[in-house]
Amino acid sequence: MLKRARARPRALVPHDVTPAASSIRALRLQALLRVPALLSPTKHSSPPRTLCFLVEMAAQEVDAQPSDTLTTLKTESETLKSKLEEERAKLHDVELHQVAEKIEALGQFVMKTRRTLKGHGNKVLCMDWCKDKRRIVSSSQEHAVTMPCTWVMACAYAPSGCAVACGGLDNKCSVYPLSLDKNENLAAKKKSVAMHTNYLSACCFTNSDMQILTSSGDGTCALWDVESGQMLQSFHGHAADVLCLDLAPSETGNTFVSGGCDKKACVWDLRTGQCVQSFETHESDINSVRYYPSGDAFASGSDDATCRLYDLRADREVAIYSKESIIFGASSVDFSLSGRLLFGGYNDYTINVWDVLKGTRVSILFGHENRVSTLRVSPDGTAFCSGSWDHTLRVSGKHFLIQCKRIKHCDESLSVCLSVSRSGPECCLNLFLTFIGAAGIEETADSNSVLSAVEYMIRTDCSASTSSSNRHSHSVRRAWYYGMALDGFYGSNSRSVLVCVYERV
Amino acid sequence: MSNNSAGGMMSLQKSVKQLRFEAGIRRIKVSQAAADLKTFCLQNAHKDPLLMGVPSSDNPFRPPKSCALF
Repeated sequence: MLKRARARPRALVPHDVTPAASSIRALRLQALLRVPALLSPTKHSSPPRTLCFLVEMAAQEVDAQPSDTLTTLKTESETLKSKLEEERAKLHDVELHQVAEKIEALGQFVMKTRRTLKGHGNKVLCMDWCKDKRRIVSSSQEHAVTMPCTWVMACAYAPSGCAVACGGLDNKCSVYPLSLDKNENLAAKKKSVAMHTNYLSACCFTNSDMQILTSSGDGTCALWDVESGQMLQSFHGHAADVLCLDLAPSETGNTFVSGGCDKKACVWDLRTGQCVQSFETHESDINSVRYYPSGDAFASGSDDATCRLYDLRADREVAIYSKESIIFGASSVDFSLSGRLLFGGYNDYTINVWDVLKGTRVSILFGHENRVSTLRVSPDGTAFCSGSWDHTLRVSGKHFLIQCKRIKHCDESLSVCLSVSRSGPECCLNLFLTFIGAAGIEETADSNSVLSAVEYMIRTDCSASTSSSNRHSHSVRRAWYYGMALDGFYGSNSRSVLVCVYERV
Repeated sequence: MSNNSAGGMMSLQKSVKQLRFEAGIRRIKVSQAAADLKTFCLQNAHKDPLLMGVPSSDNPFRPPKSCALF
């Protein structure tokens, strides 16, 4: 039972973002992108919608004690911080790994290559898992949805499977409905939903298609109504760019966690906008946060080369996953279904698998030829997919590894986002993988055109085989885009959102 | 737009308020929290394909059999 402040408008300072930190991040982005002129991080000629809203709210002020002076406030701030540390320390009676001592250690994590698939030729930027199980089609360039003047940094798949949201350096999050009609110009149907004053770092649909949660380089997160584009709630508290967010599993209530360049991870109440807990133990930017499957904890991956586990009920960090030999930042983390394993993708091209309870490393996976930028476990827990700057996506699991090489369409890659769509009630082990032939994409058996690729519908009990030339009239359970099943998509730095289908092999 | 000291005050007031709020939340002992995490892991371990692997018949990535498409 948390003591909550009465919900009331928060006093707002228009720029909570420390200009220095934000500029540094923007400069880093610029350097990586080699883009001549980047958007100025803090200034806009006309105040965007969000700022207007914020200024209105600031007008309704809250208590400012007349006796408050800078010094008394600073002292109180220090006292409170030490009190917080004390309170947390009092309950720190044991370490997680001590509690886990008696548990059997995990066996070796074995990975075998089942098939190597050739894909397209470029860096993977973002990817979304298929909803039911299956496919992510990769489309050829002309079938891609183009977002002019932007690098796609964030992507998310709507729970219904009928839309995708993405955004990046355009400071916006746009939603694209997915359509069955292959002649439809999807780019034209795009709806701009979120507007920030800096790049969009992450986005996520809440439990419905109607609301999107976004985080941005402007230091804020916000909840938006998709239909009207209106901001429903904003979340202020980070002192620098917010780089990642994750929604709590639906059973555990209306909260989400965000991580930022201020080294802080914050847990927020979706309804009130209040930051309910914050954790500041990382030593550098937090690149990725992910809830533990039970919702009682979350993990974070950071540029300080560690991943950490924070328990929400104990209100503290309970484990650090690090090794002296790991000196590169972790870009992306995710849990296995039971929460026993934590997968971390690192900038040294590896994936480290950690035993969450014991704090030890179970396995290290090599194979990527450049930094691993994104990593997600599939909804049914059978595999995880890692995307990398080496232009590939690799899907790995207990008995297999499938590597899709050379994703086309991308010129450069800044970041990869992997968004996992919620699994439907038929969640099962039918996860597949194959690249369907399309321009620039080769399948190991044959080269197929996109259209004929579309034509083979893989049933759950079959493996892929050569395409037939007949159209199937089986039930289309997913939306199709240019004739391709859209159970997932990935976005790239070539300013397009691509739809990529993986079929089971 | 407020001047520096006023802006600094407001931000400090905000952070003090936030700290007061956070200091007041209820916490449980790490031993209890850790025990719960452990229980959750162990209870769900059998359902975790990445931990347990899957029987060959269910393995979607088993070596492909031929299949007729119609």
